Amino acid sequence: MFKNHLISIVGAGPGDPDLLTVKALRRIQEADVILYDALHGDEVLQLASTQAVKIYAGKHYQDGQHQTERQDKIHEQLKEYALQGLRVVRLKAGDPFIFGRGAEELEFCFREQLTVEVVPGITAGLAAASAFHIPVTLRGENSMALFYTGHKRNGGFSDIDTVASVLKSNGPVIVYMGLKNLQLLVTALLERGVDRHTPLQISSRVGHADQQNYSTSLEELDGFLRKNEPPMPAVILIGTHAKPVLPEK
Amino acid sequence: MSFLPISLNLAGKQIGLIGGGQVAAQKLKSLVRYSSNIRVIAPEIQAEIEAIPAVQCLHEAYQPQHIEGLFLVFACTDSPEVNAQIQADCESRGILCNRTDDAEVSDFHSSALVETDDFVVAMNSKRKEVKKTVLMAQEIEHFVREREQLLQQKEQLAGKVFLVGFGPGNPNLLSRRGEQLLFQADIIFYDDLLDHEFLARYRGEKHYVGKRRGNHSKEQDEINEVLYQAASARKMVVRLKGGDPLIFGRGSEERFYLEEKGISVEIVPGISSAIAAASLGNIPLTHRGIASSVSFGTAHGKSSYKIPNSDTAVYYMGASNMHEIATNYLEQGYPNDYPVGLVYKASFPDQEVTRTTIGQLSRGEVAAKSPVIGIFGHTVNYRELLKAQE
Repeated sequence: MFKNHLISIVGAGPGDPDLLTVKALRRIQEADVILYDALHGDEVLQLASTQAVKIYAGKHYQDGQHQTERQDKIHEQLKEYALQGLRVVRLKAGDPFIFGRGAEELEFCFREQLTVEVVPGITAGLAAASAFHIPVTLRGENSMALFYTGHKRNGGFSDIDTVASVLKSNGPVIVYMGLKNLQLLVTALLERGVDRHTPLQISSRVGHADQQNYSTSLEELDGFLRKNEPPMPAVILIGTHAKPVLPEK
Repeated sequence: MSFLPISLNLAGKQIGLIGGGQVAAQKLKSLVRYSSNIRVIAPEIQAEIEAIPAVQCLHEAYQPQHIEGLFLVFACTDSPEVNAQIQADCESRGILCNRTDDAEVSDFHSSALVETDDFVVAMNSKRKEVKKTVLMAQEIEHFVREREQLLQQKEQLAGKVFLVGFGPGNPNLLSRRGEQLLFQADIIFYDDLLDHEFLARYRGEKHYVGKRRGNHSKEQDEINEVLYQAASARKMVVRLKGGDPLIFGRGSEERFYLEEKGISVEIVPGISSAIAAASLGNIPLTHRGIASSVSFGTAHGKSSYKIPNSDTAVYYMGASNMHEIATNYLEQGYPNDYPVGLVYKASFPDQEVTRTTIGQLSRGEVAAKSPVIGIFGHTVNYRELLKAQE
């Protein structure tokens, strides 16, 4: 016998309920308790039972709470509800394991010997590619795609040389980070000899009714960002072939 | 006791309700949708019932002659004795009788009904669990309405091609939109999905276009052409692709070809096999402090596996290639104990996860089985790393 009801760490995809997997949808509909982050539209949450308890567990800007404290609180809640025999869903934007921080919660559940599962979701970068007709891989052109989040480390960006080398071999790089540091990242790439004409897409609010793609290039990003403010959340696609290909009118 | 669910033709037939209270009023709500020839007999009848145009009211206490010539009778008085009398009178006259106070002895009972523009679904509980039946009927109503709406919208999709990511193979991981499009499709093109039975539930014509060994580009041209032919015959076409159509799925090639010929194409993303393998194998691809980049790779040309130096690397390849990739890692100077997670048949009941190292893989101490996704990187052992961080 399981001592708790199954905890599901569920990838909610980009926000469009039609992009949930069949399994994710079922878990959401059956849930007694849902812990969710920001970034989802309400639409996904509305699929849950009206009786389900919905708890916001995301990051409040400047709420003064330390990341570790916030994470501990989430862990406590997962455990508490599951031990009450309730069906708990931990809903995560996109996919839990692509910059979704699903691992900490999974590890906690393992350590506490709670039964747990991970349900994959459509990650924002791939949803953007589908929505805006951006090819990710092209036969004969590239054999690799890189998903990257730019953490600043020792004054530079982590893995920056890898990012530059993937771009030089025509592979696309899908970047999950805010726009604030994007220019710094692009400058670092140009310093490493990445072609300045390389296309760059900022795909804004993918999976929502107001989704929009902004096309620019590495060298033009600075000027672009001075004139435009793409709404968040956004995912960034960079690469020789990472530009929308649209049928001729 | 056995009840046969049937639909009765009520044209030209009269129905009687004995009783004028709340129970009768409730019954009438559904009856008036099917009959405009209803007689209600009771000394006192609620105003709500009197107001219904299809109903004739007779303000009298029940007498056996009231049921003469009726086709169906509902005994809804608040007296079990009167209801029993009504039933006995019906029986001797060959009239079907429903006692609202005793379903077991009734000749028939009413079903929970789900009614849409095109369908009526009648539902009965075998266990007489009314609440459950009502809930289930609501679920079914929701489902039927959704499907009906999808069929109504289908007209607008004729001549369009949908490239739908099927995910790793288990139909549970198909997106809701993908599933709906399959339901609407006139024609479905699929390749090596591992669950063929799943497609049987969809009415569209099914065509296997999986890759055989040999000339891949020729086969791709043929696929492009059959998609084009189907769309130009004004069919609603679904092209199912494993994983995500844009990650090594050649979705772009098919789209370019079709759009050049004036066919409208929509791509519906799917769960890429690498991502599914990670989730279902409990191997994170990225993790704060451990991995901030993950690459998805396949063979370039004949056989060159670039080792990208990303924190995590996932390869979509045959099992035989895993050995070679591990050897390349070693040649690049990665240590023997660099972790590898092999996920065999991700998302299927016989999925297997093996945690190993590039050393063991390259020496052939561990052999991968196809179909396999290989995850190379420290996140494979994230549990140990997280413990070390504490």
